[in-house]
Amino acid sequence: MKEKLNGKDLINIGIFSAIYFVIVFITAMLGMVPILYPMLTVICPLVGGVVYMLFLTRVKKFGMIWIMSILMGILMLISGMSWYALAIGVFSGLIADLIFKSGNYGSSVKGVLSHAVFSLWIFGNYLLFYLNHESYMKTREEMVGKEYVDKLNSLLPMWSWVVLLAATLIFGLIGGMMGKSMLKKHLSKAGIA
Amino acid sequence: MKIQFENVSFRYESRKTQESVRALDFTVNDGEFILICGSSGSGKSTVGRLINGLAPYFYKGELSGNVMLDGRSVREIPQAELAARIGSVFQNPRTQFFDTDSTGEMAFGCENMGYPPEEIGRRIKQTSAEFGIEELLDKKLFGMSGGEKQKIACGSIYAVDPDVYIFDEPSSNLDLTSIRELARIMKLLKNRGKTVILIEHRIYYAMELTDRIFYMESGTVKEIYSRPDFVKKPLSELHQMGLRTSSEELSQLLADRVGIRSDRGYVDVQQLSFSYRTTAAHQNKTLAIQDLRIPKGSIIALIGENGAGKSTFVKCMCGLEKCEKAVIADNGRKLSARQRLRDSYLVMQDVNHQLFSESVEGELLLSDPDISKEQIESILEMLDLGAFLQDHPMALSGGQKQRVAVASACAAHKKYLYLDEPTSGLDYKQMKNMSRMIRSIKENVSFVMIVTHDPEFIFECCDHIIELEKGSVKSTYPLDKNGQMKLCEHFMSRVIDGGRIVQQGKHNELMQKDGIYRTFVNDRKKAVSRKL
Amino acid sequence: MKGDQKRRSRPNVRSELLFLLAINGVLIGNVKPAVIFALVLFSGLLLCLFCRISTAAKYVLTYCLMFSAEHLLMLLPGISLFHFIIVISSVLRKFIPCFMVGCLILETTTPGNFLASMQRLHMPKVFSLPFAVVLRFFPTVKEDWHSIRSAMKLRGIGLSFGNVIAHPLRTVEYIIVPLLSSSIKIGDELSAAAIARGLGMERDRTSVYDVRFCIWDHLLMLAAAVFFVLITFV
Repeated sequence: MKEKLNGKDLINIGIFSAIYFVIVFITAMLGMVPILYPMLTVICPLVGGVVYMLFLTRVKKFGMIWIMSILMGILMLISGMSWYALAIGVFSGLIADLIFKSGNYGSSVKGVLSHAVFSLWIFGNYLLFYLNHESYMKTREEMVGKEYVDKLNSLLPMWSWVVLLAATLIFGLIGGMMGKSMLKKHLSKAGIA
Repeated sequence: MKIQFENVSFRYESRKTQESVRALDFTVNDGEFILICGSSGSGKSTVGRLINGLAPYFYKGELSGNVMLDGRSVREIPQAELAARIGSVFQNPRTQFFDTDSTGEMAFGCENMGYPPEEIGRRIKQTSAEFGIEELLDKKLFGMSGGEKQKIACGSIYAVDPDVYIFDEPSSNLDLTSIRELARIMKLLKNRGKTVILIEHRIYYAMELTDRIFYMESGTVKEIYSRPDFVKKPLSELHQMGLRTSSEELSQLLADRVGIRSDRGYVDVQQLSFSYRTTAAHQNKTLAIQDLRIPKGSIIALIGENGAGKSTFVKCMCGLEKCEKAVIADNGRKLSARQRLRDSYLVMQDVNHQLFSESVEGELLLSDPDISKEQIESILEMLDLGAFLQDHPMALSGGQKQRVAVASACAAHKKYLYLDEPTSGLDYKQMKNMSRMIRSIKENVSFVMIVTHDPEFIFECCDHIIELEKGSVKSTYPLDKNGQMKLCEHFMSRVIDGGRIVQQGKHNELMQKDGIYRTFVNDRKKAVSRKL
Repeated sequence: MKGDQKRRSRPNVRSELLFLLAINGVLIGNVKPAVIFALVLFSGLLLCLFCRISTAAKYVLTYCLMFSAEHLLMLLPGISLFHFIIVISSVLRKFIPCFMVGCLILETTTPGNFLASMQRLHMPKVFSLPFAVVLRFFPTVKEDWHSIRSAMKLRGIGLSFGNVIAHPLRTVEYIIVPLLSSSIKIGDELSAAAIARGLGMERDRTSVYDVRFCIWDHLLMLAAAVFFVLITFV
């Protein structure tokens, strides 16, 4: 039973996307210490969870999560992180939307699950490095010598992308759950959620 | 357009227990100017929403009865047509614009209607000429003052040229000059024969345009007055209805001031200078305060035109902005920016930004983790918040939130309390409560400084005035008898007649001429002498 | 020409987006440093012309600093730490030109202009409207963020290093809760006002903005082609 998205829904999507993106962006800026870079895929879902869960209380139609996911991808593209997040976001957003839809837009368990899948767009940014690994490393070789590059490579092996992917999903789950509890703690009492 | 309400009741979905309006039954004729007044919560805004269709299309709820526009039920008119025939201007200038550019915003309504671009351009030109806002075109909305934004909002509706205009408390966030300009726009609408519905607490600025006044209480229209009957009402009765006094009637409020003390010493401010980097919002504004004495133990009103630097001054005093060269001393003891930050508190215009906990109790604990239960109780008692100990701050009303913010300041043992426009949008009773609250905490802090352009409020609770103009101190004086006269003159220094500046000039000049000003000053002098 | 159909003498968001896509290759492959530098300068020029000079200067200088730092460190004896900094810096600085163009888009595109431009591209409203709202909302969130930060400072829970390290989650909570409540309230008021003025899905909107391509768009598209070739093939 597809209800069409109306103006109010679209504005809601825009507002929550803006908030989610700003919060994620600020968190990323704060954690911009290069050592923490892989950790961003962990921190961002944790922080964004509450925004997403609140958004879900206003989503009652198909497409809202999907569009938000695509918007995140576009915003990533514009902020200079290339189009990988967008490419992932198109698929992960659709799946996240379907997950939440399957619970008839009311199940909080499905909501948390959908956040885990939704968060994959953050992982998309790392694909930028993994898929272009060779060309990156070649330049670095010229700068710091093959030996050091080999050392770095051993620190961050190629299969680590699986770890990051899993971490994104897991912390997406945790973030969703934390978001749900924060919603209960604050915003339901305040009558907003 | 003729508007008819036939036994209309509406209950918001979110408030399942209570109907917002009940059994509304009245007619508004084409071309009438109706004022709807009443205390907060009386259902005034809902009436506006029922006409422009936002209830129940946007604000979901149960509607019974019929709202008829020219004989057709609102339920049957598509939202697009409603938007074309009914224009709405809302309370908050900050949140009602969609575009970030003023011309784009003026065009927004027309663009939604699908008018051809040349037509839109023509309408914008005509509107800006009639409103006198040509200089505001092609500018960034984020840099404009509240009054300017509100004018653009009106212009945006005017360009669509609807039959009905609904204004929902449009003057709430505006200073006196902007309110007068708003009144001028409303006069224009009246002259063009538009139907206007004005929902307001401040009635004086459009009183001469009003045909009928609807007084609402608890969701029903208690009384409908014609203008001649209404203007006969005494001030006290208007206050009962939640309405605010006009600046012209301020003379009736003059009172003996108890509690002006000069024995607690002073906070001295010297060489406070600050200038914003040139961004769209703050172009070349500088603050230069040379020598200022703030009397401790008093409630100070910080007044001045928009852009005079009031908010900036407060932020510098709080230590939120860096002003290195400033020397601020409390009875001789110098205060660094860090100390001031620790000892100051600012209740902002948007109180939502400063409440962080999940309960009022939590909010106080945040200020002082070691606070005792008795202290919590006494603070809440003083501020009339005893019943809300466990409530979430965000669930409270605006006025209650402000009190929670003040409570948190007390719990944190703050010495200098600042408030930024605390009475925007408050009706009479709420304003009195606010003033009572501030007077009750006067003893707990070193001073209270309130940025405000609400003359009634100043008379209610302040004892001292600091006036800023273009970034420096124009004058500062206590609100004794002379001070009160001076304040009245300040608010009356531009006399209006139907929105136009009729008499402008210095006190002495105006006293020579025969006119409203002289009559007013003489009346006031008589009033003051009567009170003594 | 005020109030007439607006002809802005700056590139339209469509050509800006095209340029951004064209130069994305800089992040992927091995691009000659000279080309990247030319790109940074060109982006700086765009920012100077259509945005603020201070912004342009900020980014161009940062790039130059990072580049010089790397090459200085390369001259010094090879300690692990230096190698690490060189690698990180050389990776991060490649993001700067794209970031600059992104800044240009976000700062100079108004929601109304965006809607009109996207309608020209026949982009469905389900995408263009939310994004226009994002553009509208960013400055508001920025304002709120400053306000909340001030409030936090006054309460002693500000964003100091100590606070963030000691109680990270609580600090995040302090920021998010007021930000969310405030944003929701603003969002509701914004939606109500937009709907009451006829914003909807049904009709095609017209626009007072003239979004036809002007000379700047053609120049920008040419530059996009040039840089694309330089990045990919040189």
